[in-house]
Amino acid sequence: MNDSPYSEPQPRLRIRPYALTRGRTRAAVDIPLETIVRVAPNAPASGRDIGPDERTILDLAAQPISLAELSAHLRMVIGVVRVLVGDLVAEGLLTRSAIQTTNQPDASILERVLNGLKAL
Amino acid sequence: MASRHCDPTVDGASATADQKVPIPVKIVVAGGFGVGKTTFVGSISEIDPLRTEAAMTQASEAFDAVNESTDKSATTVAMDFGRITLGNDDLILYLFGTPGQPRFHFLWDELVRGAIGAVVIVDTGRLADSFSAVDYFEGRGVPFVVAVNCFHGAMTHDLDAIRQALALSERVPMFFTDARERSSTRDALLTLVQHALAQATG
Repeated sequence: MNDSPYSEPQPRLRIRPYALTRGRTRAAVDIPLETIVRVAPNAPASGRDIGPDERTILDLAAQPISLAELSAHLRMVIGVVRVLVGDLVAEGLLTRSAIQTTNQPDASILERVLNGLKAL
Repeated sequence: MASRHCDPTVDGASATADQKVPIPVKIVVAGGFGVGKTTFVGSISEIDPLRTEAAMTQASEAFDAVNESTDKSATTVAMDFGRITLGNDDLILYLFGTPGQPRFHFLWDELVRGAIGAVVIVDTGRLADSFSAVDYFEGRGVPFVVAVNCFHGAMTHDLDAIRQALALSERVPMFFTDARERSSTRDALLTLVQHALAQATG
Protein backbone atom coordinates (compact mmCIF):
# COMPACT_ATOMS: atom_id res chain seq x y z
CA MET A 1 0.00 0.00 0.00
CA ASN A 2 1.31 3.41 -0.89
CA ASP A 3 1.09 6.54 1.12
CA SER A 4 -1.92 8.68 0.37
CA PRO A 5 -1.40 11.37 -2.22
CA TYR A 6 -1.66 14.30 0.09
CA SER A 7 1.43 16.09 -1.07
CA GLU A 8 -0.77 18.94 -2.19
CA PRO A 9 -4.19 19.85 -0.85
CA GLN A 10 -6.74 19.29 -3.57
CA PRO A 11 -9.37 21.96 -4.13
CA ARG A 12 -12.76 20.30 -4.13
CA LEU A 13 -15.59 21.70 -6.18
CA ARG A 14 -18.44 20.69 -4.00
CA ILE A 15 -20.63 22.48 -1.51
CA ARG A 16 -18.67 24.99 0.56
CA PRO A 17 -17.92 22.97 3.67
CA TYR A 18 -19.41 25.22 6.30
CA ALA A 19 -22.66 25.80 4.40
CA LEU A 20 -24.03 22.82 6.34
CA THR A 21 -23.49 24.63 9.60
CA ARG A 22 -24.84 27.94 8.33
CA GLY A 23 -21.35 29.35 8.43
CA ARG A 24 -20.54 28.42 11.99
CA THR A 25 -17.01 27.12 12.36
CA ARG A 26 -16.99 26.68 16.11
CA ALA A 27 -18.60 23.83 17.96
CA ALA A 28 -20.88 24.35 20.95
CA VAL A 29 -18.54 22.20 23.07
CA ASP A 30 -14.85 21.26 22.92
CA ILE A 31 -14.50 18.13 20.80
CA PRO A 32 -11.01 16.93 19.93
CA LEU A 33 -10.63 14.77 16.82
CA GLU A 34 -10.38 11.50 18.73
CA THR A 35 -13.40 12.15 20.95
CA ILE A 36 -15.67 9.13 21.00
CA VAL A 37 -19.41 9.70 20.99
CA ARG A 38 -22.39 7.42 21.20
CA VAL A 39 -26.13 7.87 21.36
CA ALA A 40 -27.10 8.94 24.85
CA PRO A 41 -29.14 6.48 26.87
CA ASN A 42 -32.57 7.99 27.48
CA ALA A 43 -31.84 10.75 25.00
CA PRO A 44 -34.44 13.49 25.19
CA ALA A 45 -36.70 14.08 22.21
CA SER A 46 -35.20 16.89 20.18
CA GLY A 47 -37.34 19.99 19.96
CA ARG A 48 -36.28 20.66 16.39
CA ASP A 49 -35.97 18.97 13.04
CA ILE A 50 -32.93 16.71 12.86
CA GLY A 51 -31.18 17.14 9.51
CA PRO A 52 -30.17 14.18 7.33
CA ASP A 53 -26.48 14.50 8.22
CA GLU A 54 -27.29 14.66 11.91
CA ARG A 55 -29.53 11.62 11.46
CA THR A 56 -26.62 9.76 9.88
CA ILE A 57 -24.39 10.75 12.79
CA LEU A 58 -26.96 9.45 15.28
CA ASP A 59 -27.26 6.20 13.32
CA LEU A 60 -23.49 5.69 13.21
CA ALA A 61 -23.18 6.55 16.90
CA ALA A 62 -25.35 3.61 17.93
CA GLN A 63 -21.90 2.13 18.54
CA PRO A 64 -19.07 4.19 20.01
CA ILE A 65 -17.42 6.14 17.20
CA SER A 66 -14.87 8.93 17.04
CA LEU A 67 -15.23 12.33 15.47
CA ALA A 68 -12.50 11.34 12.98
CA GLU A 69 -14.42 8.23 11.92
CA LEU A 70 -17.64 10.21 11.53
CA SER A 71 -15.77 12.67 9.34
CA ALA A 72 -14.47 9.81 7.18
CA HIS A 73 -17.86 8.09 6.85
CA LEU A 74 -19.73 11.30 6.11
CA ARG A 75 -16.96 12.56 3.79
CA MET A 76 -17.11 15.91 5.54
CA VAL A 77 -14.23 17.99 6.82
CA ILE A 78 -13.59 17.57 10.52
CA GLY A 79 -14.59 21.11 11.40
CA VAL A 80 -18.08 20.65 9.98
CA VAL A 81 -18.66 17.34 11.75
CA ARG A 82 -17.39 18.96 14.94
CA VAL A 83 -20.08 21.65 14.78
CA LEU A 84 -22.85 19.13 14.04
CA VAL A 85 -21.70 16.74 16.78
CA GLY A 86 -21.30 19.68 19.17
CA ASP A 87 -24.96 20.57 18.70
CA LEU A 88 -26.06 16.98 19.33
CA VAL A 89 -23.90 16.75 22.47
CA ALA A 90 -25.19 20.09 23.74
CA GLU A 91 -28.75 18.86 23.20
CA GLY A 92 -28.05 15.68 25.14
CA LEU A 93 -28.64 13.38 22.16
CA LEU A 94 -25.04 12.17 22.16
CA THR A 95 -22.71 11.44 25.06
CA ARG A 96 -19.00 11.81 24.57
CA SER A 97 -15.89 10.38 26.13
CA ALA A 98 -14.30 12.40 28.91
CA ILE A 99 -12.23 15.28 27.63
CA GLN A 100 -8.63 15.11 28.59
CA THR A 101 -7.50 18.41 29.99
CA THR A 102 -3.79 17.69 30.26
CA ASN A 103 -1.27 17.72 27.46
CA GLN A 104 -0.63 14.01 27.77
CA PRO A 105 -2.49 11.00 29.14
CA ASP A 106 -1.56 10.27 32.74
CA ALA A 107 0.70 7.38 33.73
CA SER A 108 -2.15 5.01 34.57
CA ILE A 109 -3.61 5.36 31.07
CA LEU A 110 -0.15 4.92 29.54
CA GLU A 111 0.30 1.71 31.55
CA ARG A 112 -3.00 0.43 30.23
CA VAL A 113 -2.01 1.24 26.64
CA LEU A 114 1.31 -0.51 27.18
CA ASN A 115 -0.36 -3.63 28.53
CA GLY A 116 -2.94 -3.54 25.76
CA LEU A 117 -0.27 -3.36 23.05
CA LYS A 118 1.73 -6.18 24.65
CA ALA A 119 -1.39 -8.35 24.59
CA LEU A 120 -1.88 -7.87 20.84
CA MET B 1 -24.34 6.08 3.17
CA ALA B 2 -26.53 6.23 6.21
CA SER B 3 -25.85 2.63 7.11
CA ARG B 4 -27.86 1.73 10.14
CA HIS B 5 -26.14 -0.46 12.67
CA CYS B 6 -28.35 -3.36 13.58
CA ASP B 7 -26.81 -4.69 16.73
CA PRO B 8 -29.49 -6.35 18.84
CA THR B 9 -27.39 -6.01 21.99
CA VAL B 10 -27.63 -2.25 21.87
CA ASP B 11 -31.36 -1.92 21.96
CA GLY B 12 -33.72 -0.88 24.68
CA ALA B 13 -33.33 -1.87 28.29
CA SER B 14 -30.70 -4.54 27.71
CA ALA B 15 -28.27 -1.84 26.63
CA THR B 16 -27.88 -0.06 29.94
CA ALA B 17 -24.86 -2.02 31.12
CA ASP B 18 -23.21 -1.45 27.77
CA GLN B 19 -23.50 2.31 27.56
CA LYS B 20 -20.09 3.38 28.69
CA VAL B 21 -17.98 5.26 26.19
CA PRO B 22 -14.42 3.97 25.67
CA ILE B 23 -11.48 6.24 26.44
CA PRO B 24 -9.74 7.46 23.28
CA VAL B 25 -5.96 7.74 23.11
CA LYS B 26 -3.92 8.74 20.10
CA ILE B 27 -0.50 8.56 18.58
CA VAL B 28 0.67 10.82 15.77
CA VAL B 29 2.53 9.18 12.88
CA ALA B 30 4.62 11.77 11.08
CA GLY B 31 7.18 11.87 8.33
CA GLY B 32 7.76 13.02 4.80
CA PHE B 33 5.53 12.28 1.85
CA GLY B 34 5.59 8.64 0.72
CA VAL B 35 7.70 7.46 3.64
CA GLY B 36 5.22 4.75 4.64
CA LYS B 37 2.95 6.40 7.22
CA THR B 38 -0.25 4.87 5.89
CA THR B 39 1.45 1.50 5.47
CA PHE B 40 2.59 1.70 9.09
CA VAL B 41 -0.93 2.59 10.30
CA GLY B 42 -2.55 -0.06 8.10
CA SER B 43 -0.24 -2.83 9.27
CA ILE B 44 -1.73 -2.79 12.76
CA SER B 45 -5.10 -1.06 12.46
CA GLU B 46 -8.18 -3.22 12.99
CA ILE B 47 -9.93 -1.27 10.24
CA ASP B 48 -8.66 -0.32 6.80
CA PRO B 49 -7.17 3.12 7.27
CA LEU B 50 -9.84 5.78 6.91
CA ARG B 51 -9.33 9.21 5.47
CA THR B 52 -10.50 12.38 7.09
CA GLU B 53 -10.04 15.92 5.90
CA ALA B 54 -9.55 19.24 7.57
CA ALA B 55 -10.26 22.54 5.90
CA MET B 56 -7.08 24.54 5.56
CA THR B 57 -8.87 27.58 6.95
CA GLN B 58 -8.96 25.99 10.36
CA ALA B 59 -5.68 27.82 10.54
CA SER B 60 -7.58 31.08 10.76
CA GLU B 61 -9.78 30.35 13.72
CA ALA B 62 -9.88 34.03 14.57
CA PHE B 63 -12.97 34.13 12.39
CA ASP B 64 -16.15 33.01 14.02
CA ALA B 65 -17.95 32.76 10.75
CA VAL B 66 -16.87 32.11 7.23
CA ASN B 67 -16.51 35.29 5.25
CA GLU B 68 -14.82 36.42 2.09
CA SER B 69 -11.40 36.52 3.72
CA THR B 70 -11.53 32.76 4.30
CA ASP B 71 -12.08 32.11 0.65
CA LYS B 72 -9.95 28.97 0.66
CA SER B 73 -12.43 27.02 2.73
CA ALA B 74 -12.85 24.47 -0.06
CA THR B 75 -9.16 23.54 0.16
CA THR B 76 -8.59 20.57 2.39
CA VAL B 77 -5.76 18.47 3.73
CA ALA B 78 -6.22 14.73 4.15
CA MET B 79 -5.12 12.50 7.00
CA ASP B 80 -5.25 8.72 7.05
CA PHE B 81 -5.89 7.08 10.38
CA GLY B 82 -6.44 3.68 11.94
CA ARG B 83 -7.83 2.26 15.14
CA ILE B 84 -6.77 -0.39 17.66
CA THR B 85 -9.11 -1.50 20.44
CA LEU B 86 -7.14 -2.31 23.59
CA GLY B 87 -7.94 -4.02 26.84
CA ASN B 88 -11.55 -5.01 27.39
CA ASP B 89 -12.87 -2.66 24.73
CA ASP B 90 -12.46 0.20 27.17
CA LEU B 91 -9.56 1.89 25.42
CA ILE B 92 -9.31 2.80 21.75
CA LEU B 93 -5.98 3.85 20.31
CA TYR B 94 -6.10 6.02 17.18
CA LEU B 95 -3.09 6.38 14.91
CA PHE B 96 -3.14 9.56 12.86
CA GLY B 97 -0.83 9.73 9.87
CA THR B 98 -0.11 13.37 9.12
CA PRO B 99 1.51 15.19 6.27
CA GLY B 100 4.88 16.49 7.27
CA GLN B 101 5.21 19.81 5.53
CA PRO B 102 5.46 22.82 7.83
CA ARG B 103 2.40 24.42 6.26
CA PHE B 104 0.30 21.66 7.83
CA HIS B 105 1.54 22.36 11.33
CA PHE B 106 -1.76 24.00 12.25
CA LEU B 107 -3.16 20.47 12.14
CA TRP B 108 -0.40 19.13 14.34
CA ASP B 109 -1.18 21.63 17.08
CA GLU B 110 -4.55 19.98 17.47
CA LEU B 111 -3.23 16.47 16.93
CA VAL B 112 -0.55 16.59 19.63
CA ARG B 113 -2.92 17.98 22.24
CA GLY B 114 -3.64 14.99 24.47
CA ALA B 115 -1.53 12.64 22.34
CA ILE B 116 0.69 9.95 23.86
CA GLY B 117 3.39 11.11 21.46
CA ALA B 118 4.61 10.66 17.93
CA VAL B 119 6.39 8.16 15.74
CA VAL B 120 8.50 9.95 13.13
CA ILE B 121 9.09 7.65 10.18
CA VAL B 122 12.30 8.31 8.35
CA ASP B 123 13.45 7.25 4.90
CA THR B 124 17.25 7.21 4.79
CA GLY B 125 17.16 8.35 1.18
CA ARG B 126 15.31 11.51 2.16
CA LEU B 127 16.42 12.35 5.67
CA ALA B 128 15.76 16.04 5.22
CA ASP B 129 12.03 15.33 4.81
CA SER B 130 11.84 14.48 8.50
CA PHE B 131 13.66 17.54 9.84
CA SER B 132 10.54 19.63 10.33
CA ALA B 133 8.73 16.84 12.20
CA VAL B 134 11.69 16.33 14.53
CA ASP B 135 11.93 20.10 15.09
CA TYR B 136 8.25 20.32 15.84
CA PHE B 137 8.07 17.55 18.45
CA GLU B 138 11.36 18.56 20.08
CA GLY B 139 10.24 22.16 20.34
CA ARG B 140 6.97 21.28 22.03
CA GLY B 141 8.32 18.62 24.35
CA VAL B 142 6.12 15.96 22.76
CA PRO B 143 7.51 12.45 23.40
CA PHE B 144 8.61 10.97 20.10
CA VAL B 145 10.64 8.13 18.65
CA VAL B 146 12.30 7.85 15.25
CA ALA B 147 11.52 4.77 13.20
CA VAL B 148 13.81 4.26 10.24
CA ASN B 149 11.82 2.43 7.62
CA CYS B 150 13.79 -0.34 5.94
CA PHE B 151 11.04 -0.67 3.38
CA HIS B 152 13.46 -1.23 0.57
CA GLY B 153 15.60 -3.62 2.52
CA ALA B 154 18.65 -1.44 2.07
CA MET B 155 20.27 -0.36 5.29
CA THR B 156 22.85 1.86 3.74
CA HIS B 157 23.13 4.01 6.83
CA ASP B 158 23.76 2.93 10.36
CA LEU B 159 21.67 4.37 13.14
CA ASP B 160 24.48 6.45 14.60
CA ALA B 161 25.01 8.21 11.30
CA ILE B 162 21.28 8.91 10.99
CA ARG B 163 21.13 10.20 14.55
CA GLN B 164 23.99 12.53 13.77
CA ALA B 165 22.39 13.71 10.53
CA LEU B 166 19.14 14.45 12.36
CA ALA B 167 21.05 16.08 15.25
CA LEU B 168 18.92 13.92 17.49
CA SER B 169 19.40 13.75 21.25
CA GLU B 170 20.66 10.44 22.65
CA ARG B 171 17.51 10.34 24.76
CA VAL B 172 15.24 9.92 21.74
CA PRO B 173 14.76 6.23 20.92
CA MET B 174 15.65 5.34 17.35
CA PHE B 175 15.35 1.99 15.61
CA PHE B 176 14.83 0.26 12.28
CA THR B 177 11.27 -0.69 11.44
CA ASP B 178 9.43 -2.44 8.64
CA ALA B 179 6.20 -0.49 8.28
CA ARG B 180 4.56 -3.43 6.48
CA GLU B 181 5.01 -5.79 9.42
CA ARG B 182 2.43 -5.77 12.18
CA SER B 183 4.88 -6.98 14.84
CA SER B 184 7.42 -4.38 13.82
CA THR B 185 4.80 -1.62 14.00
CA ARG B 186 3.61 -2.90 17.37
CA ASP B 187 7.17 -2.79 18.71
CA ALA B 188 7.55 0.78 17.46
CA LEU B 189 4.38 1.80 19.29
CA LEU B 190 5.50 -0.03 22.43
CA THR B 191 8.81 1.83 22.36
CA LEU B 192 6.99 5.14 22.09
CA VAL B 193 4.58 4.39 24.95
CA GLN B 194 7.47 3.25 27.16
CA HIS B 195 9.37 6.41 26.29
CA ALA B 196 6.30 8.58 27.03
CA LEU B 197 5.79 6.78 30.33
CA ALA B 198 9.41 7.31 31.33
CA GLN B 199 9.07 10.99 30.44
CA ALA B 200 5.77 11.29 32.36
CA THR B 201 7.08 9.67 35.51
CA GLY B 202 10.33 11.61 35.35
